[in-house]
Amino acid sequence: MMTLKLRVILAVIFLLCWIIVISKAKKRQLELKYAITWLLLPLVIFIIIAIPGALEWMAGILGIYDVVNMVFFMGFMFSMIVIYTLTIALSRHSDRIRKLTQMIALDEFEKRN
Amino acid sequence: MKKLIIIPAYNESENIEKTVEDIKENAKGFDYVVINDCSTDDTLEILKRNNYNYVSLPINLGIGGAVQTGYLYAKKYNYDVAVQVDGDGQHDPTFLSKMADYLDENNLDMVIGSRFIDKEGFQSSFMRRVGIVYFTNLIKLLTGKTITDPTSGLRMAGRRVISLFAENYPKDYPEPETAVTAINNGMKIKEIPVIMRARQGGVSSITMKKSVYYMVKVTIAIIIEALRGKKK
Repeated sequence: MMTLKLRVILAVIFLLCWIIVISKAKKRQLELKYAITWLLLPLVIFIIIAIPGALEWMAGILGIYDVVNMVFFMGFMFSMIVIYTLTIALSRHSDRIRKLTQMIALDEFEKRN
Repeated sequence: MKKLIIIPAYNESENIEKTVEDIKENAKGFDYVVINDCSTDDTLEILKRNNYNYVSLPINLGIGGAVQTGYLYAKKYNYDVAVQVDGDGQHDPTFLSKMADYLDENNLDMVIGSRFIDKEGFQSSFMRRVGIVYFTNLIKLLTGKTITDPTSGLRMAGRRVISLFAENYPKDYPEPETAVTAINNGMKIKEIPVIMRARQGGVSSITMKKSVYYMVKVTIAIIIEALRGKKK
């Protein structure tokens, strides 16, 4: 059972999340690609929570007894997905930095000789 | 007036020679620079072979990064006017001096070549036109200004806008967003009718899945840009 208290707390958290993300995106400290993730994620979770019965249905399918646990499980899964995509992005970035470093070094060599 | 044509090119080996020759032929008052966005085909070889003026990026940045490099070049070498001409042959260089004169006479910061004022020439696919109308209305809602062709890549920037874009430019699908950026920074922008051609060869980089991402990303980007508020 999910209490009203929990729903309200979650809604407030999501709203705060939105405010912070939009603020960072405005200041160009958060790139748009990732800002979209942080904006859409709470929205998706909120919609799932708001649709009556959706949470219960999902909990039933997964064999979870208490619906509140479903909320936590969802949050956990989404966190894992976000972390995973971050590691992919990081891998790409470190690869590009390596390429740049090598090119700069070889350019510098050319200039010297 | 020192005038520059920025030609971003990613894997345009089929079109790049035609595009550059077309520009050399039909836009004589303009310098040009091809920005090779780390093409994986033989675009670079073609540029070298023909001794074209180019800058070659060591890694692929995407259209935003490539065009921004062009604006950095324009700022560095002190150009009064910079205009983007796509490497796929859709833009007709004969409009460029008209745009430059229009910018100069009316003391504008930016001139956008719009396909949809006179509705002549290549009008793009139906789906794209729906998207374009959507952005026109969104921009009008957020800034009050009507831009009939917000996705047009044919845009000419004066010194102030060159500085602005050299500093800040979106990474992908930059056109609608940068129109809002320019508007909110108090730039004077006007559109003139132009005629564009269909893509001459090669393949567009925008697929169906990317179109959805485009709509969502650009919508959010425009809203955030509008939230940054107006500056003098």
